[in-house]
Amino acid sequence: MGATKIISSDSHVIEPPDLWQERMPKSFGDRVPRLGKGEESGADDFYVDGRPIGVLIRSLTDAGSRFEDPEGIRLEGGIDEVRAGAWKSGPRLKDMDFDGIYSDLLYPSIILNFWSGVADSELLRGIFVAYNEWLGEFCSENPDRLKGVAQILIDGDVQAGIRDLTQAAKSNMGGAMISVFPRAGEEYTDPMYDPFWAAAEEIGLPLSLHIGTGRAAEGAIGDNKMIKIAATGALRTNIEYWVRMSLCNLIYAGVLDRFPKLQFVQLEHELSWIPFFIDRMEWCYRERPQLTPYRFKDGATPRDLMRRQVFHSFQEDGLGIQQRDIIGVDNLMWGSDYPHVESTFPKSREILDDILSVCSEEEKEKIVAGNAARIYDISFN
Amino acid sequence: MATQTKVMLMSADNHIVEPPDLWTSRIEKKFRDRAPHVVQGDDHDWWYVEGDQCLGSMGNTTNAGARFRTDKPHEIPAEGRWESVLPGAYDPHEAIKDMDMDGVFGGVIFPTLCVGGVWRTEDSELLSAICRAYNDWIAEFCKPYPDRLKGAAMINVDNVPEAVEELERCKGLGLNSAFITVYPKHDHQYHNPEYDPFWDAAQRLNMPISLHSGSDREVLPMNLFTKADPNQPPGVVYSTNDYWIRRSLTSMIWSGVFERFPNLKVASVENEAGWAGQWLYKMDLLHRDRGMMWPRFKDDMKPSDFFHRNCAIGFQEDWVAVRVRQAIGVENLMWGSDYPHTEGTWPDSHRIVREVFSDVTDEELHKMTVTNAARFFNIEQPN
Repeated sequence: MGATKIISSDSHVIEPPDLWQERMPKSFGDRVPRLGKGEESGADDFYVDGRPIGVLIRSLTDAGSRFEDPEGIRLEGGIDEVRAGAWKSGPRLKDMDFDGIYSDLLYPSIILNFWSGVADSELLRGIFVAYNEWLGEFCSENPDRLKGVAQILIDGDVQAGIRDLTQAAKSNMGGAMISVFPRAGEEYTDPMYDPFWAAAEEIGLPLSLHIGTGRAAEGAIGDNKMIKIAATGALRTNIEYWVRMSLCNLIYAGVLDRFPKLQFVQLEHELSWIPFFIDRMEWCYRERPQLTPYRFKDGATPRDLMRRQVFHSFQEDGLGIQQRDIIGVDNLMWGSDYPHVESTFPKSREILDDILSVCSEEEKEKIVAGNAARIYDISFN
Repeated sequence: MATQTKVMLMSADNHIVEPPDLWTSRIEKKFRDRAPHVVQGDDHDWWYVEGDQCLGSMGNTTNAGARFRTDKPHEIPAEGRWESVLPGAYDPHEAIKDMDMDGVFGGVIFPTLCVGGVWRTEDSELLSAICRAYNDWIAEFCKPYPDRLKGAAMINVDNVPEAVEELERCKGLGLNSAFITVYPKHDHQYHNPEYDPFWDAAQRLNMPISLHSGSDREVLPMNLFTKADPNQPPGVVYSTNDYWIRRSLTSMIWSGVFERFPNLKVASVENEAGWAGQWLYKMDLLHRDRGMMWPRFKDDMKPSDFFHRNCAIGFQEDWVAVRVRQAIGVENLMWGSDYPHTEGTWPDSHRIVREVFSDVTDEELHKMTVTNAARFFNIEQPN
């Protein structure tokens, strides 16, 4: 990578455990998130509304362990194991320097589990608002290098979503995240979202769709441990289904066509499914128009809309990089996933040198910095 | 650029169309009132089951070749009458003539109605009876050309002991492979040990098992997890339906089905294949980096090792799959013509094969269009 400045389009903070008790209105009483012990594991976990969520704390902070002993990775752990760079900006910037990263786009960790784990919309919105406030303060320590992505809950209340989006822009957030797949019966085809899409387009914040944040995602089922393990594996292996469904909904319902400056960033689903997905959409749009009746302006096809408005954050998908001519080099953004256990930290530059070895220097620069700088308006000063 | 032209191709995915009287003339008497039958409408013929449940038109499906004669493929009619069905869809002698003309030696044969809505028949006993009648019919269809027409038995696995019995009966009828629902009832997915006797029988009888697109046992996919969305264009489902075969194959691999039944063979049919590169990569990554969650397999086998040893993927015109063939496995990809369906490559299979496989070596081409399918489905290769 040489001297290139690198932007990680997908990094995480870990929320300080007392964040919500300190910042949420008293009216939420004892429903606010608090630290506790997991019922079965005895490891630290978070409780919301009195119920354990199943947060695997060590998996959120154990960056680097997979390079030492991948099969020995532990997922459960204690809050005292969290590395300082996960929630303090000084140590954070030092870790970024060590890994050779100039800027981080910041997503949460603990509340990622709440998208599917907390059904009550009012409570979850309160949790997100408190988090966004904390994140804004965290990033203000170094606004060029720490770029927050606000968590926005819509859940049928589009006006509340627009309010939170407007606040995110005021707090200098780089982007805003919505559920990768919304609640039952509220898919992104629904015209009720139009004012939200219009607001996002006008404000100019890209909308993120991050892995594992479905409001309506399926949980593993089964009463026998072996069955549950296989079911979980089947869900995890094929998890990009949900973002494909949402992107398809957005494209076929004409959302991208009607809001041509609206930008979506899909994260942590890797890349190599995208060429097949684009090809399936192209086929369906061309040969089965009765199934995709909305027609795009100027003879555009799904592929054109994907190129214009959908961007892909990935970690280390070498196979996907080899298909970059189909996906679009201008649409690719690398992300480290620091400090999660899947992260490329502290070997990000080494891994990038490896998987980007097939790319030209110009392509490399776009993928590790230029595209993210353009989309998130990050300046290198 | 591959140059092979003369070799007869082997198709991992051919079809018949069920004649209107298939069930009314064959199904056991007690099911006759509720069996699939054809109703002649004003303009088109329609299949019905359970008395009044419409399963769609017949006759639309065999417009093979029409899409090569138009620049508006979407205007090819979607409905029709029995009289418009290509004779090769139900007459074996005509089928062989058509295959000769297209340069295809043989094929594994699936039905049409019975890779679709029939699988959603709620009454499991009725579905099993539908399967038995179909199996009798397809065995007769293949009889005149047993080396070239390889019908796949249709097996309802809701009741596993009965499924084993029917699989054995079909072997006796001369059928040498079978197909089951691509995604069973949601609470009975293929990782469930209840299926072990069936996997055991398939292995013992040396009958490869296919999972064909469209044969989901329940209404899929959205309604399973979410409410039906009236705003959702149906194209969304079409553009994401590889999910169900992936879920089923992943369930089988993770739960050790192929470890317990090392000679069991399972194929994905007509789900295309471009998804498989990432799928295999993700399984291996999770297996390695989530060691505490997943089982360790004997002999250090990885999930992808089971796929490469026990599975194969049939596909038609998926240039993305051909491009990432090394990541999927050149030995595991099997071309299929989908004859006589409208989407199929007949009568231009050789031309399309040349286009889709334009960047591969002759050896790779021969594997993906002839020998892989022959080996997987135990078909004697032509010289």
